[in-house]
Amino acid sequence: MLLELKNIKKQFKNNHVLKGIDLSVEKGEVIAIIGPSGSGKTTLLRNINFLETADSGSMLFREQQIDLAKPTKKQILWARRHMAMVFQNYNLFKNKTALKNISEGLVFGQNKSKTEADELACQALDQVGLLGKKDFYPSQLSGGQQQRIGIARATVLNPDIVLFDEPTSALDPELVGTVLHDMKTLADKGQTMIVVTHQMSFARNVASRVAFFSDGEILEEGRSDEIFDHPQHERTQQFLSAIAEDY
Amino acid sequence: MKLSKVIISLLHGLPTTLILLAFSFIFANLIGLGLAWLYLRRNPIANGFARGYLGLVRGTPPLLMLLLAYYGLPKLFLLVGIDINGWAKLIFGIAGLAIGWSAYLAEAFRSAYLSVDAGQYEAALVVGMDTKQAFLRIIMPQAFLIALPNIENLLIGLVKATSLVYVIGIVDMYSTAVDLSNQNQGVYQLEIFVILALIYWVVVLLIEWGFRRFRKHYQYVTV
Amino acid sequence: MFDSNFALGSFPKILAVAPTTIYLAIVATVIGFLIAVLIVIVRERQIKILNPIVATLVSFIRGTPIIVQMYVVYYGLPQLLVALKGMGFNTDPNGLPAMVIAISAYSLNASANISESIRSAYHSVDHRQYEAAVTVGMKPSRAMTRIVIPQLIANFIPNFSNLFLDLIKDTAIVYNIGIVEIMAEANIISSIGFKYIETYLDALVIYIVICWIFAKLFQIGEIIARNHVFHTQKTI
Ligand SMILES: Nc1ncnc2c1ncn2[C@@H]1O[C@H](COP(=O)(O)OP(=O)(O)OP(=O)(O)O)[C@@H](O)[C@H]1O
Ligand SMILES: [Mg+2]
Repeated sequence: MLLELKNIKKQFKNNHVLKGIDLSVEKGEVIAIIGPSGSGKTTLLRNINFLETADSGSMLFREQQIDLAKPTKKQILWARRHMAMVFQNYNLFKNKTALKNISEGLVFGQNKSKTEADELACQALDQVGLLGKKDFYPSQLSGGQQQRIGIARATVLNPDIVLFDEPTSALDPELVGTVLHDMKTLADKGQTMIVVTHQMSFARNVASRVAFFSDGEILEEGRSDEIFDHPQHERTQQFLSAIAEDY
Repeated sequence: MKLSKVIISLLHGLPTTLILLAFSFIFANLIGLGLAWLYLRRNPIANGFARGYLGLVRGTPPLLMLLLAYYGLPKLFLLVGIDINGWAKLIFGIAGLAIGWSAYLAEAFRSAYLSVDAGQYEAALVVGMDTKQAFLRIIMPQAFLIALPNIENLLIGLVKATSLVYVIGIVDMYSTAVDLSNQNQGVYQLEIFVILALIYWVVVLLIEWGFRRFRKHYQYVTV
Repeated sequence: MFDSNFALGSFPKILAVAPTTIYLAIVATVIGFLIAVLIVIVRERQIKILNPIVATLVSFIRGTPIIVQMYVVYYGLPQLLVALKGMGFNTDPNGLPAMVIAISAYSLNASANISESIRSAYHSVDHRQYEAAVTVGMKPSRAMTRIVIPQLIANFIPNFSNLFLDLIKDTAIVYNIGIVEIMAEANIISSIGFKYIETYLDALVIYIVICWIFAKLFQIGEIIARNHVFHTQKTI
């Protein structure tokens, strides 16, 4: 077991956003998290990498037990340096070029030398076909290019797990494909990922398991074909049939 | 007396003006950074101190600030047993201007910091930077670029404010002009001040040019 | 070391001339505002010949210290009047009141700053909203008054407030041409008693209170403008 989440709870004021989430992830798995807007999917990811602090719950990650409600600074830094995240709105560093966006984490998160980091960053850019843009700033790149660099920035760190938060939902439809392609390539290489997504085709075809989120709980979880072909819960059925009209 | 002589005499005051400008700007930035940091603390004492300082200083005419620095600072220092009465007037001029401008700069830094996109900080943490690295490498540079137009305006304001140091007896470009016009018994008085104005204008235009160059260099960093 | 009796005794005397400071600031701002509107029209309509001249003048005024501008007017205005007299105008260059000189200088100064502020407020209005309003059938003039001007004013008031407060502080030098306002009175009392810090602190208190009052007035003005005239909500 690479990652095991136990009973994560989080509330904002009186709003119970996570009501006790359990989830385990094996090495090499791709888990898709689907569910209606506001159900707490983003919040779960943000609790896993401590951008938000849970009210209670624990995480077993790489055999280390971490209390999510009271993590130490050391634990936070350690965990973050073995995870990576891809944001919905890319969040590329606006004051850094494409190349530096990728190498920054290698230098400051992993103490690599600048030259080595730049070399690795160039390779990563080359792999997504964007080496020609290495000296461009984010404002000079399309959304799709930015997100592919966002993915390269995450994966160049060789993380044990990558968290994706709706990586394609801010993109123009014709750009979605390129980003999904990059993600599929990653999955095929055996990268462990948790992907919050509204792209049902991705969840169905790439993910090994799907978790359906509703109102702060995982209502249903299982192999992707099981969830899509034989949803057990009424909420899941409603959600899937509503989504089905979208595509 | 020829106009060219007027120009030359006025330019003799220029170095003093520029020294005042450079040092007061540097110190104003340092104090301003400290204040902005205090202002952003949640600690009510730090925050209250910064607010109080800003409120007081921003309501004070620069001329009065110079006078208060000149007459007040020695008294304040005497309270802690240090005699600074003998210090050069230039130091008091720099102090007065720096104190005055630090408040405006602090506000510029604070609001720039607050308007940096929170996602930038999160992205920095997520790639493994610690909070200090995230601040120094990602937040600070972006906040600086956001604050830049304000910083430019404040620097230009400071150029103009250096003319006020006549009030504590510093001989800069402006007070050179006043001396000239008094010596001349009414001859060229208008011309002296027009030329003086043109020199200040050139200094300001050069500063604007420099900032334009800088902005152009970072035109693709849209913060 | 600090003579608090002296400070208290001089306070009312200095306060008594505060209206002069405020009067100068308000009159200069009003006149400056009117000139600024003309400047904005020339610049935004890009009126030929006039536009570059006005742009240069604005840059010049914004690039020079107000004290220098004041002396340019102080020495230049009488010469201008002499020249006008020579051309047959009925002007009297002699004994020009100091207040006239100060108001002329400060109005010009204010006009340059205010015009830039209006222009940036105008440019910060989202013009797609104007277009949207016209597209849904609103008359252009109505769209201007209902959509553009309200946003412009909302964007402009905080800036205008700052400019006005700057102007109040800038008036602290007009004692140089013989106007008795806060700073002048403080200087006079100081030089009689050879006590400086006391009167300057009096002046400080007065300036700060004046600035605070006007800052509040502008804030209230902004809220009234937003709530009552334009039916949008904003609290302090
Ligand atoms: N920082 C916050 N403060 C207060 N409430 C928050 C905060 N972040 C999220 N919430 C609330 O938590 C709930 C879940 O939000 P979350 O962003 O996790 O949903 P989501 O499942 O990711 O939705 P979407 O599909 O729209 O992205 C929402 O009701 C939201 O308003
Ligand atoms: Mg979300």
